[in-house]
Formats: sequence, structure tokens, C-alpha cells
Amino acid sequence: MTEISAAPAAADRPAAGESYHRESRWYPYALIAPTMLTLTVVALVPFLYMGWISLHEARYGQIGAFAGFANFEKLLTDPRFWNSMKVAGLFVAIAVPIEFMLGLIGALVLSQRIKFRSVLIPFLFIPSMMAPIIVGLVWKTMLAGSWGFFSYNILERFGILSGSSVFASPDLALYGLIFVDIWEWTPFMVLTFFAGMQALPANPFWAAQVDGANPVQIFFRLTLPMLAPLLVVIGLIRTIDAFKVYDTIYILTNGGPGITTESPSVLGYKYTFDFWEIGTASALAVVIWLVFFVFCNVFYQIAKRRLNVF
Amino acid sequence: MSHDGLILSGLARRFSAEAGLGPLDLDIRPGEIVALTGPSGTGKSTACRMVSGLERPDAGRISLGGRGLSSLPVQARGVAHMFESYALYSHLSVAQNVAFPLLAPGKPKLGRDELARRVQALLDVAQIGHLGDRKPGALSGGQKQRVALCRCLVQDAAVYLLDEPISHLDAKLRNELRGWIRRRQTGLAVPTLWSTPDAMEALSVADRVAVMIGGKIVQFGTPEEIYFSPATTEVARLVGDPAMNLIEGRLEAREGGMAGFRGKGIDLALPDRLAARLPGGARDVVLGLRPSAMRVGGADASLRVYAWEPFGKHAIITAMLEDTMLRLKTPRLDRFEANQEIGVGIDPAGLVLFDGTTRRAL
Repeated sequence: MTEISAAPAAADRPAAGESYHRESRWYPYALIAPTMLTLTVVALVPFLYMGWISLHEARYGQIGAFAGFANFEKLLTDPRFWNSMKVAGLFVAIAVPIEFMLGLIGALVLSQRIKFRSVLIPFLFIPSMMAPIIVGLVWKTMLAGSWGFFSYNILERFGILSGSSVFASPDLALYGLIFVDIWEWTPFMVLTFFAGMQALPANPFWAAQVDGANPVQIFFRLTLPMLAPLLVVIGLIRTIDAFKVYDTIYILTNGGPGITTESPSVLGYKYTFDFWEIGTASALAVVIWLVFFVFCNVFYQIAKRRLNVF
Repeated sequence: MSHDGLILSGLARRFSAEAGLGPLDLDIRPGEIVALTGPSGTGKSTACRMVSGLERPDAGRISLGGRGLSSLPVQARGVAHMFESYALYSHLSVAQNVAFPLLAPGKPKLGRDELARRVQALLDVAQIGHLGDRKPGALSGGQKQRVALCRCLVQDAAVYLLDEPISHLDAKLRNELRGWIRRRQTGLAVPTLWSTPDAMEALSVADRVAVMIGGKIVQFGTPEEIYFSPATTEVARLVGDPAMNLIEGRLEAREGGMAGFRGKGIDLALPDRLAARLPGGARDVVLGLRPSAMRVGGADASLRVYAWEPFGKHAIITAMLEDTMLRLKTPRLDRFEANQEIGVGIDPAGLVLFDGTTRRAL
């Protein structure tokens, strides 16, 4: 360090006054300590506490005797739990691929030096910048039965739904929510993929043109593989995030009609604050965590081997 | 000019009010290698990129095999372009990189075995046959350059553009590949453009050499013409290893119809061959003197040694003639010390004269 900080100010400091040593083996730990401390307090401790609760009788805010896996048994035999998994699974399986495709298409269009790009990009930020609660309220209004802007002008006109909101239909409510999620997250995907494409080196694309590759080949043989690490990470994050969807559902349907749009997050909320079954709610959270822990690991291994990313 | 090769006529590209390229006039016959040489930043790569269509010229025509290229898209030009920056596909293996152009639409379909055989044969020549499964990220700079070279040469192209194909290889491999590429390309019925900042490489590989300085071609001729009669002092300064020495001075008429050159610390009688070609009268000139045209132990000029670099079978002495720095190549292997005074003799056969103001050869 003497070489680096041999500036006049440091030079006259006594050697004995060097109270820290970069070479010290504690130095790296000192650097990550603030992050570790924050994560421990806000994530690890609550999570462990929740795991502990899930193994106890806990109702109405009272934590009782050790209950073994009773909470888990109750949860896994509850059809509502399996329904919520199905709802979230369907939600993810439809919303994420569509957002992904639209995101890629949008990013490709933006990369083509289209007119008004600099005007368009700030607009694309709007949906992801809005609080999800606001997104929910906006679409609640837009899709309100008979008088909603969308319902009145489009759905009613073509006789798809008359006099009622999409969110009141047991068959369509989930698709309404999927539509809102696509509206909310596609621009984010567009911008992320666009940024990723901008960061790709230009010269392989020159080479591919000279080598005779057509635009379709260039997209599938260069753009996609070179973007693979980004696509994998964004796809993973979006999948996890979509599975945990809560805010928009809470505002738009609160899980209804019936339980047709009840995602695990909404169900967890209900277990906790409607039924006061905190033990079962904790068990639900632990199960969801386990599912994603396994999912992420499997996904990581596949991505590593098959796609050569990471 | 009209033949079935590559013809650039009046090709120009403006970057700003001051900076621009061309107009370039250049032609390469089928089976011929033309080297484009010049200092870096002079526009050699841009010229290549205009031929392959990655850059649009502002003016001029490019024709290949008798048809205009300018309106054709990049993919349809039939150009094999090796990029100075290699431009490898980082996610593909070395073998896949080289095979890439063969898989383009419209190219004749090759069987899997035939494809692998062609790729492997080239990789072997470039001595990277064992690296076929590696990704470019795991290669050294010289290895990457050879992959890029293979990816270019594997094609059956209508024209080959080699932008600094061997500049980052070690000397031994460079010598081997230089000869191999020349042999291969001259055996084909298509033109090859070889760009390199190394003028000696240009002279050794090409049938004709275009010297490009400041975005313009200042001389286009055979290697002999470029080497023995450089058109300007700039060309002279670029060519040779070491390059030609230039000494400022005056041309004077001497008695008996002879001519002489007088510069700081030097006074030379010029040979009849040179004198006969010169316009009469005294004028400012620049004398071009090859490093090999001076020999240690003579009385034509007295130099003070600045540095001495032995290269085994010859040595290069850098020495001062008053305030002009000269280089001379000597077969003598004895040691020369800094500041040592040496007398040199000058072989009049190696002299070239340039005009003092226009800097063009006289």
C-alpha cells in the first residue's frame, strides 16, 4: 500500500499509525459485513423464525407447542393449496413466455434505429415504474363491467362479455390477470433485452453478414446464443416473480371469483390474516421456498450444461 | 481498365470536413494478390469494409468479375473477409467458427464429413488443428488470428479480403504462413486484397503493392517499383527494414556536366545515371540513401554512432550525420561504441533523389 498511497499527505503519516492492513485476513470479511448483517437481520432471521413457527402450533398470534409436521400435513391435504399452485403455475406458464417473446420482438424492433426511439423508451418505463397497486387500480377501472374503457369499447362491442367485468368471470378472471401482468412486465423485458443487445460486440455481426448469414440465421445463431446468459437470468427472475404474484391479484380479484385466481401468495395472506392460521401460512412459505430452491438448482445445472451459460 | 477481377474506381468516403478516404483507384486481377500497405489509421480497413459492403462509399464504383457490387447486399457479394479484429463468434467452438460461412444459405450443401474434413485441413495448416473444440475465449491472440484466417480461407469466395492476416503471429509462424497463403491464393482464379501496415510483408506477398498514406494511394506498382523507386519521401520512409535514410540538401551543377549533392556534413558527386535524369540548375532536394548502400570504412561522410544493434549475420548502426539520424546495415560484426566516430563510404547505385518541396521522386 505504501507504493499506492505514497502521496505527500500519506507520506508524513507515521508508519505506526497504519491502523488497518489491506493484507489482513479479516479485511475481506469487514468489507462484506454490512451486507451480511443487513441480510441476516431482514432475511435470514425472519426466515429461520418462520421455519421454526411452521413446526409449532400457531394460531391467532400465539405460538404453542411443538407440532412436528402437522402444519405441513394440513397444508398438503388442503385442496386450496393445490388449487393455488395450479393457478400460479398456469399464470407463469402463460404470462412469462408471452412476455419473453414480446420482449425479444420489441427489443429487436428497438435495435433497428426506428424513428422516435428516444421518445418511446421513456414511455416503456412507465408500467414497471408504477406501483403494482396502481397498476391494479388502473386496470380495474379500464376493465370495469359495462363502463370500463376497455370493456365498453372492445369487449362489449364484440359481445364477448356483457354487463360484467372480466374479473367477475370464473373462466376469464385468471386470463384478465395474466393480461395485466403482460402489460406490466413486457416493457421491462423489452428494455432489458434491448440493453443486452446494445451491449453485444458489433464485429461478429459484420462477420456473419460477410459470411453470408441471413437475418434469421444471424438472430438464431448469433443474437440468441450471445444473449443466452441474460435471457436465462431474466427468465428465471421473472418466473419466480410471476409465481409470487400478489399485489395486482389482491386489488383486482382478491383470489376470486371463488378461489379461481388464488395464488400461493394470496392464499398465504389469507391463512395469516383471514384465518389466523399462522403455522399453516409458515408451512406454505417454507414449501414455496423449497420448490424454488430445487427449481433454481435444477435450472442452473441445465443452463450450465445445455446452454453453456454461467 | 477492364478485367474479371476486383476494380475500385474513384471510391471515396468522407468522415468529416478534414478526414476522408480516397478517391481510391485500384484493380486486382484474378489470381493476383494486391497488398494495401500504409501506416495505421490511413483507411486500409475502411477500404476493405467498403468492398465487403459493411461501409457505404460516398462516391465511386466497385466491380467484381465484371458486375457492379455497390447495389448488392453484403451477403450476396461473395466476399470472404478476414477482419483485423478477428470478429470471432465467442459462443461457437473454433471448428464451428470456421465452418460457419460454409453453412450460409445458398452455399453448396456439404456433407458432415466433407465439412469437417475441409475445416480440419485448414486448421492443421494453421497449426491449430488440436484446438478445434475450444472456444475463442480460451485462445491466445495469435491463435484467434489463425482461426479468423481459416474462417476466411475455407470459403470459395469471389474475392478474398485479408485485413492484417498474420500481424499478430510470432515471426516463425508468420514466415511459414505468408508463403503458404501466397501459394494458395495465387493458385485460385480470384483476386486477393491483403492489407498490412508492414511494408516489407506487403512487398514479399504481393504481385503489386498499393501504398496508402493519409487516405490516398500514393503509389501503386510492383514490389520492385515500390522498393527501388519510391514515388515520394513518405513511401521511402515506409519501405525497407530499416527504411530509407533521407537527407535534406541542395543539388548543384559540377564541372564537366556532372552533378553533386551537398547537405550538412556531406558532399557527394552523383553518378551519371542520376545526373542525366535531373533538370539543370541548383535546387533543394532530399537524398534517399538505403541503409545497405553505406559501408563502414570510407571517406564519403563521417558519422557519430548513436546505437549499435547486432542481429547475428548483420548489424544495424544508428548514427548521426550532424543533426540527421541515419541507419546503416553492415555485415561487420565488430562492436561499435556510442559516440564512436566512423567514416562511411556510399554506394552511388542505391541513391534516390526527391524534390525538396513537392517531396516527389525526381
